Amino acid sequence: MGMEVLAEIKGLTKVYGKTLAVNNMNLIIPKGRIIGLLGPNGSGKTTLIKMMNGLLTPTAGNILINGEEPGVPTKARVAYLPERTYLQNGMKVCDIVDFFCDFYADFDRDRAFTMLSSLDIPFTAQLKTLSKGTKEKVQLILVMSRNADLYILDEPIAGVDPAARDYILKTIITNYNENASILLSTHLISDIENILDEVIFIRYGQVLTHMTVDQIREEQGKSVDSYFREVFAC
Amino acid sequence: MLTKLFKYDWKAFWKVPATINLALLLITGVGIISLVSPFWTLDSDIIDALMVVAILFYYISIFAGSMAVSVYIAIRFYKSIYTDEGYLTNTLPVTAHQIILSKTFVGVAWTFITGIVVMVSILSLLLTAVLAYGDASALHDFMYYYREFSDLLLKEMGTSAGTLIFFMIISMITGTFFSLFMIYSSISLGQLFTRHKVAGAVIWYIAEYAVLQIASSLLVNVPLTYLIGSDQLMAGDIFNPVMWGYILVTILLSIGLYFISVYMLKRKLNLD
Repeated sequence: MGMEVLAEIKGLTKVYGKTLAVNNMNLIIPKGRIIGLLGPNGSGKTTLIKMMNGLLTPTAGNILINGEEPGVPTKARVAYLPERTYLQNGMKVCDIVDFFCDFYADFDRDRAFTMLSSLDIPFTAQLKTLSKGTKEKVQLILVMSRNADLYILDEPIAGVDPAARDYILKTIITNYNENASILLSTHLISDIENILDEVIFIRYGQVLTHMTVDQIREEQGKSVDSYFREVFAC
Repeated sequence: MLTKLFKYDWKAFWKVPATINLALLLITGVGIISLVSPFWTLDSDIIDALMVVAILFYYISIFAGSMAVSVYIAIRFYKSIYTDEGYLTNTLPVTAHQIILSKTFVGVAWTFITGIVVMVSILSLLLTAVLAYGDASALHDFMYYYREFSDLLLKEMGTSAGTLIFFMIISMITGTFFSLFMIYSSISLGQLFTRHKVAGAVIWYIAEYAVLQIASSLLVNVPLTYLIGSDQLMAGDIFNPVMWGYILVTILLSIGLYFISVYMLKRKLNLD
């Protein structure tokens, strides 16, 4: 693809007991792209994402982001949205904004408050009183308010209503700079395929296909959604 | 970054131990008021029984309060690093050392605060009881026996009472760090279990505790046997080295357990 490399994954393997979750995976994430990480349940998407964020220790292989293994420097440049709620009860919305502001030098507080206002989330609300969907929105806002090099979003739109989904997708494309990349895992392909530049299909912990959306449309004559259904047909 | 971590750890932590300590102070206050009131001098059989119940209740409160603070330290450590909250804690641009150190400072601070509250509580109740029911000579007697004890200690053990108190304070401080790192390291090692990680932490804790008991009994008994077998040695010749040896070993073990906790976080992290 002849682009600058943001992250490189080589021979990455993760074994849980007897299960091979990620199997000798090789992958290159270029700069400035929105990439869909697509695959059926249990294909290794979340395991890969967690290893990229240093939450899981690989069994073998390595990951380089900006030329470095997951650690303090990469965490400062990667904005990660996990597929679960990590917000601490007992904090208010504005407290968690302060928290992000304190720890991430690339955090834009104004952007966070603008987005919170747009989605009608009160700044002084206690996090524990928010619905699950609203908590997910807060987390996504926190992540997208950073000026990171790489955004890794694990199922970012699964738990929110379609209206908020549209707003969030709009936010994602308008809020990242052209050198940054977004790696986004989801099951809801049709909802996001218009914003994707590239897709990575993974199955059994390995990369099945990595190509641009244009390639799929031109070479296969299909949308990403129908191509996905064809490839992963049961 | 360490100060920032400390700030947020403190904020997330203080409410529970502060409530526990306030409750202990409240119980102490009630105890003091009841001691200076004529209530306990009422001539009734029930009063004696009530006294036993009150003392028992006080003992249990003090014990449960201190235990609860330790358990809460363990729970906060586990939750903020190894559960869903860990998804945030472990993706902050901070080192494993900073995460553990910040939690250590908070844990040590609250263990000390609780220890001081417990000591103040016991001493103030004792003092009130002495003043309310004894006479002024009680304090006099205490000072007399303290001096007696001090002389005896110097003669038999070659240690002054001041040194002994100093040793006790130092060993309390090192002991606090040590018990904290025992909690942290066993929770961290519990993560090696693929399932039942909390049970794993408990098993590690018991294992560490058992090893510690065996080691410390060796540390005390070996010199003791040596002492009994010897004609020339005085108890004091053994007492001082054992005392300071004990502190040195506690410090070394604490450092070891600290590095185990950091290593597990840095190299073996596997969040479910």
